[in-house]
Amino acid sequence: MNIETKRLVLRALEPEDAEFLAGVVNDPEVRDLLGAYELVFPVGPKAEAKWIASVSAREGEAHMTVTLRRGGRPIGILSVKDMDDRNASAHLSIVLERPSWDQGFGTEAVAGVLDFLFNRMNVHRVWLRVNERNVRAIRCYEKCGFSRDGILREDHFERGCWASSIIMSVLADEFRGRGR
Amino acid sequence: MIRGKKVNLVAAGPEYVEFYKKWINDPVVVDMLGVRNYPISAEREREWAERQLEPTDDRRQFTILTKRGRPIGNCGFNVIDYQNRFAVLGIMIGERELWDKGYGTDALEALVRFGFETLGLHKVCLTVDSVNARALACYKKCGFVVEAVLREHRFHRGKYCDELWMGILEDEWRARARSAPRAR
Ligand SMILES: CC(C)(COP(=O)(O)OP(=O)(O)OC[C@H]1O[C@@H](n2cnc3c(N)ncnc32)[C@H](O)[C@@H]1OP(=O)(O)O)[C@@H](O)C(=O)NCCC(=O)NCCS
Ligand SMILES: CC(C)(COP(=O)(O)OP(=O)(O)OC[C@H]1O[C@@H](n2cnc3c(N)ncnc32)[C@H](O)[C@@H]1OP(=O)(O)O)[C@@H](O)C(=O)NCCC(=O)NCCS
Repeated sequence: MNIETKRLVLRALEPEDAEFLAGVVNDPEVRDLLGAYELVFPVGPKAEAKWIASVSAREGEAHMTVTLRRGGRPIGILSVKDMDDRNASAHLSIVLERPSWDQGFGTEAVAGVLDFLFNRMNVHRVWLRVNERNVRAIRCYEKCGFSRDGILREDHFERGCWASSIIMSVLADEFRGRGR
Repeated sequence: MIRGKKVNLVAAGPEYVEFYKKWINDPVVVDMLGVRNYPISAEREREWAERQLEPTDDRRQFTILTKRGRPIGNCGFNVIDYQNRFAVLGIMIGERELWDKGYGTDALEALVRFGFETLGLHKVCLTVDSVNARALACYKKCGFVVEAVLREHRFHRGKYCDELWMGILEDEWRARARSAPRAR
């Protein structure tokens, strides 16, 4: 099922999203915040389409396109991975196109997915890894109820030096208690 | 084609894939369904629709069409057990503006009739979340009775709810069918 929030619909990632996605992840300002991810070289729409087809077929992962409810235009991608059924834990990641930053869309999308994961899928814990200087993302996750678990010291190389990531997580009870 | 009064049931297949994709991704439609799934892509849904073409004897899905030919949902036998002569049904009206207009009841009546008259079953059953009042009402109208309550068996909207097993026996159905007019 699609995940719907006030302004957004999260639907399945489709091969047609390749052009949009390539545009987003080739944006240097976006790429600058994703140093800990697999992305290294520039990617074209063809390669992106291949990637979409391969990840869509994988079990235990869900890749969604974040679209505007009004008009359906894509503004980003949100993925849930490393779903561990026995431990009821999942990993979340999100990337929005630059023009859509700082309008609350990230918070809305993440909160919508957390509601889905906790209240429908019966997940216990959602976690993520974020560059320690990515204050916008950290703020967005904190607004959604995430707290800091710890630091992965110098876990990736970017901008000519070693950089560290923060692991954040939120538990089902914390998320449910948030509204009270 | 299986004929009801307001709907017909036809073989499910790829020609309806756009509808299937819309229904299964509609949060309101699947809210009460057994499935708890992430958004489903066109490709994954196409695979499901293609699979319906495989001739299986132990399960079978149908698409529900209005008499004017509009696809409005799916129903079918999720399990057919010929040894014990029972089947487990499932149903979904995917066009939710058409809920509460009797389509679900009519499709179910047609499916149950097919189960008893054509498949020669002894019993037809189904499961339903206890919170699904609309489906419960629909099943009761069709003569199903609650046979078992599986306590806190289903996780629904952040809480556990009961799952009900409902069923109707051949004799009960015959008694009902005698007093109801036939579809044509
Ligand atoms: C991270 C991301 C998903 C957040 O989405 P968003 O829609 O921009 O976030 P929101 O508007 O919901 O929230 C951002 C918050 O950060 C705050 N913020 C922005 N820049 C900031 C800064 N330099 N310092 C402190 N806070 C800042 C905003 O004011 C807002 O908080 P507020 O609502 O309290 O004012 C999005 O910006 C993005 O995709 N960035 C690029 C990719 C990325 O970094 N992904 C995360 C990888 S882990
Ligand atoms: C359940 C479903 C198949 C029923 O189909 P339908 O065409 O809406 O059903 P009908 O119109 O034939 O019957 C529904 C009955 O429920 C009643 N009803 C609706 N909401 C109700 C409620 N909250 N409480 C009690 N009864 C309710 C209606 O009044 C109607 O009864 P009536 O004809 O005596 O007035 C359909 O609504 C559906 O697909 N829902 C979503 C998926 C689903 O839940 N499937 C079943 C999973 S077990």
